[in-house]
Amino acid sequence: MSILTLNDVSLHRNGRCILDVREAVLTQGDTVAVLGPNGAGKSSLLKIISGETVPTAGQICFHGKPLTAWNRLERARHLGVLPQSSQVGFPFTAEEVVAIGAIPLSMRKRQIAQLVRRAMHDTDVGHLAEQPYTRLSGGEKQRVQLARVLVQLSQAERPPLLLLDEPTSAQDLGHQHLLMQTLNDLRVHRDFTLLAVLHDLNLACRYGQGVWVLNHGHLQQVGAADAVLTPETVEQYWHYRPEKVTTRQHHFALL
Amino acid sequence: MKRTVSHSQLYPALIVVLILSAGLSVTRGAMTLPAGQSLLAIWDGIWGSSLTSLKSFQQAVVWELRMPRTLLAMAIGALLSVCGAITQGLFRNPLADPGIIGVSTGAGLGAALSIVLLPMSVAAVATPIAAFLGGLLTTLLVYRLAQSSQGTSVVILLLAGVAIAAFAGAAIGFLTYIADDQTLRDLSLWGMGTLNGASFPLAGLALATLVITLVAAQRDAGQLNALLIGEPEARHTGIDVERLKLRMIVVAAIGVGVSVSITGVIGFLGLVVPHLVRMLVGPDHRILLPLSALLGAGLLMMADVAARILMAPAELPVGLMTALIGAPFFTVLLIKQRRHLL
Repeated sequence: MSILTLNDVSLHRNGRCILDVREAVLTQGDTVAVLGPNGAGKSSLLKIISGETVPTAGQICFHGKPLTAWNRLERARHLGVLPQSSQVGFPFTAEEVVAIGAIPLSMRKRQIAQLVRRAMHDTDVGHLAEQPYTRLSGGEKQRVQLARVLVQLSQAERPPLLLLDEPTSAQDLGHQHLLMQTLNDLRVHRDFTLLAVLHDLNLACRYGQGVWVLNHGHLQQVGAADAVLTPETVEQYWHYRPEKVTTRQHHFALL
Repeated sequence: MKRTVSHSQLYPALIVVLILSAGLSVTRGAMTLPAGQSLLAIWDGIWGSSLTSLKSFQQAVVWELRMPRTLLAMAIGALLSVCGAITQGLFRNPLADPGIIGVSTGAGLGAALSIVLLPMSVAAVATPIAAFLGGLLTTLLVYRLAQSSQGTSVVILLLAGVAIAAFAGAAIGFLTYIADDQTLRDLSLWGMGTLNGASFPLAGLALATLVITLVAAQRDAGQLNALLIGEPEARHTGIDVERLKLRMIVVAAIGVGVSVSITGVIGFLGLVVPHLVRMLVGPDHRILLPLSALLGAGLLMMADVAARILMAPAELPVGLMTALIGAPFFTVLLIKQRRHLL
């Protein structure tokens, strides 16, 4: 079943075509990685889906209903965005940042407090609740932001969609896999669908059910990671020919 | 920065400060009067009794001069502090005080135009409105200038303040040339920020504006919090960010406009007060706004008492007092923010 469909979506800016996607369908319950070289239009695609940028033309349907027809708060309860990096200029505590996710919810104060605690526990930042957000490390900030988005999506009546813009870029290797593991748990146990812009092809291979390859604003390849990410395709779009190896656990990797 | 107090402790403390400074403000001044009898004179003024033993001219000093002045100081102090908290949240920057970014000067120019160009009878009503319009236009202008896809530019924010102050200063200078003697005196006193012209109607106007501003801002306090973590993030949380910003710009312009039209530009209060409150209880607007109102009211009343008694029987403009404390404070903030500026 599809959770998100794009039809003839295009974005022009200053007479230049930044994005032109004829058709794209996101299957509910999948993790799909959006890949592509720099300037391919990955972030623009995410911004259009999140409603931040209005496309020049085309239609986006979320749960079968045009994105623009959704009520603002209702949409926020079903569609979350994990930002790449978030600058907060004022010394909120981590807990206060997470509680901001409760804005679109209709809930009592006590319930919200519980929800915040649980979300922070789930993303392993419970111990940082009282710390000023500004003092946290990049990885901790990201997990606090994830907790905020989890709170925001906790009253979803239909399976939620989470958009991620390079979620692992500020993280070390261990935290990259920890984050991807957490996200995968959300997908398996809480019916999340994930659409993530990724730079690391191997993370896409490892955790994605599918990949979308963008180039020059066009959706070039769609499919399972191991089928799409052949050395030939990678060379075609990234101008580098990797070696494809299969590990003993039957994962494959691009070197 | 560790939070040292909880807001449930700060509320009663600030209410005590408020009551004490109000008490000081009605009992102290150029004329020395016994405090207890002065308070009784206020009781008499409210209930129409005659308990006080003060002579009637002394009663007039307390009830007709100090009482409205105290109420005005309370309302304007709270109003400026709340507006400061709003603009700082809106611009996502603790330096964005209405005075520093030029909103107060813009409002001042609007008010000066009305004072000089309109006949006396119309000016009473038109001046607050002109000040509001001046403040609104300036806020919109500064906002458009400073906002880019990378967020708010602090440098442009501050430079806009400088440019607007220079322009408004020149325009007000020009107005003083064409003003007659009486208007000129009004203009020059008022330009420094003073609570001199206090009366019950003006205090009433300021208090009413305070209530409107505070209620309107408090309703959006949660959304202002979301704005602080980033505009796209706020948008993803389901907030109509453009409308929120417009609402806050209008609310701040009303607050600043009305206070500037009554007292002239009283600087730095909107910068210092929210900052102090934030240091104590954190940046959550739901508690920041009412606490800033309380602290601002107390501080301006105390500054006004100081302005009245330091050089008694002469009176210093209260704007001088707030600038004296506020300017060094601003410098320290600027040094702290230096790495964001370069």
